[in-house]
Amino acid sequence: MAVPLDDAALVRAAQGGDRDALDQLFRRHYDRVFGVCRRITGNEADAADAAQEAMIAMVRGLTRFDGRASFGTWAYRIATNASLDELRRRRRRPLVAGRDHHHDHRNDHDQVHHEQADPSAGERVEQLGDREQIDAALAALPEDFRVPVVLRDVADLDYAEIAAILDVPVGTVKSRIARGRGMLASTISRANGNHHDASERPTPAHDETPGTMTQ
Amino acid sequence: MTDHELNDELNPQHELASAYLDGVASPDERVLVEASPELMALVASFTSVRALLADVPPVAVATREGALVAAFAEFDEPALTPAAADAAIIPLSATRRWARPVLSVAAAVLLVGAIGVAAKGGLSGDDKSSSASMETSAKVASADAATESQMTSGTMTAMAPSTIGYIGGGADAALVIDTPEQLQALAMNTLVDTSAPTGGSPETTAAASENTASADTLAPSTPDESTSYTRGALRCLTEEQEFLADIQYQGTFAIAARDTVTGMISAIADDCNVLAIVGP
Repeated sequence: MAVPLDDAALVRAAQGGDRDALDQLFRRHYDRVFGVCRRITGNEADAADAAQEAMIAMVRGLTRFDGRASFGTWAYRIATNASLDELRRRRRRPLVAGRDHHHDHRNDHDQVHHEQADPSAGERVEQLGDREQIDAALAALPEDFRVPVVLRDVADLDYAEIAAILDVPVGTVKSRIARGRGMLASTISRANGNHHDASERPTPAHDETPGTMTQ
Repeated sequence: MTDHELNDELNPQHELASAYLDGVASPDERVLVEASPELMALVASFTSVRALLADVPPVAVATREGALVAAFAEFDEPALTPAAADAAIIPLSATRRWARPVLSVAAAVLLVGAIGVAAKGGLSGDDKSSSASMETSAKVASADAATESQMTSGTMTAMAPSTIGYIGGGADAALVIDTPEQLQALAMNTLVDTSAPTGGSPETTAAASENTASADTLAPSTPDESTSYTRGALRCLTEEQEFLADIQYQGTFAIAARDTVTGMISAIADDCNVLAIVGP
């Protein structure tokens, strides 16, 4: 049985025109690319669009990929940008009823986060199941916190990689991830009826969190 | 969001717990966290959040295959299309952007259906025949996508042997320009069709162009949007140059820019390399 080639070897082969290598590479990374898009955009339909745009962009940019970053980091950077572009397009276009027909149970909250954060999303979290809860909690999280948390916890990138993608200092990434997690934990915990969970215990330096995150 | 909300003041307990979870806490911090039931509860809370985040709903096969078909249509598409010097310019509607995804999904649905048929057939046949059917189905789907892709450029060729068209389907859309004459025609005909997604003002995008996160892929932004995700070549513009359009010049993604003093039109790549200059 042939040993699977690593990403770098597949990239080199794909840059040389090897279609099979590109196929392997894309299949290896697609699900996680989609996961990043799904968590940033907040719904299946936009995630599918963003992930497809990302794959096409990767093909277009493949010859310029120099391997200084890992292929995964590069791919998630593109996926992040495609997702943010998708969000911007969504803010510009009018709502289309039933855009996500096959996910009707999610439509209510899928259609509301046109802004960076939906201030009312947190209040609806308690009515939802686990997956819907995290979607709604993410929708309530400002983009500046949502993206680094997703890149850390979904794409499994380290702080330095995230800092490179977002072009912010590593320290900023670290604090935004911590704050983002705190907000998510707080929203979900309240939704589950725990009004005094660990993430909400006041401390001397407890900062006010945006939107509905505060008590 | 206000500056206050965006500042990075932080509950130190959150930062400690988060760093512990990510394995970047110092030895002293680890001891501190492990000695505190409160901090350990916070770590557990963040661990639950991480698990929820990572539990992304599974990708539909049709979604994945549709994306791959679209990507491979791009891969298989020749980057350069032969063009005569006297190219007519026919901007395509921005709505074409949706044609490829739709057709790609249709191809993927066909693929899935064919796989289903093949799999059903495989119940009564041997693995080899089933596998062969699936492979054939995949080729059919790929051929469909390739045909669609060829239709995209082929239609234009049929309309005029040498035209400038948009490369669509991506996060961006770029005009295919292969000759200096086409570049000049672009400026003379102000090809910047308002219906086409050709990008925002250079002033807006150039301001953010130092962001290293952008270069390879990024979609245009509109002047009213503040974004740090922009195309790289905008930073190369001089004060006298104005952005005209996103282009693909002889296969290289670039921007077309006009010198407002001399009227010269330039094709400028992301690395600031000037690919072509034509007179006014």
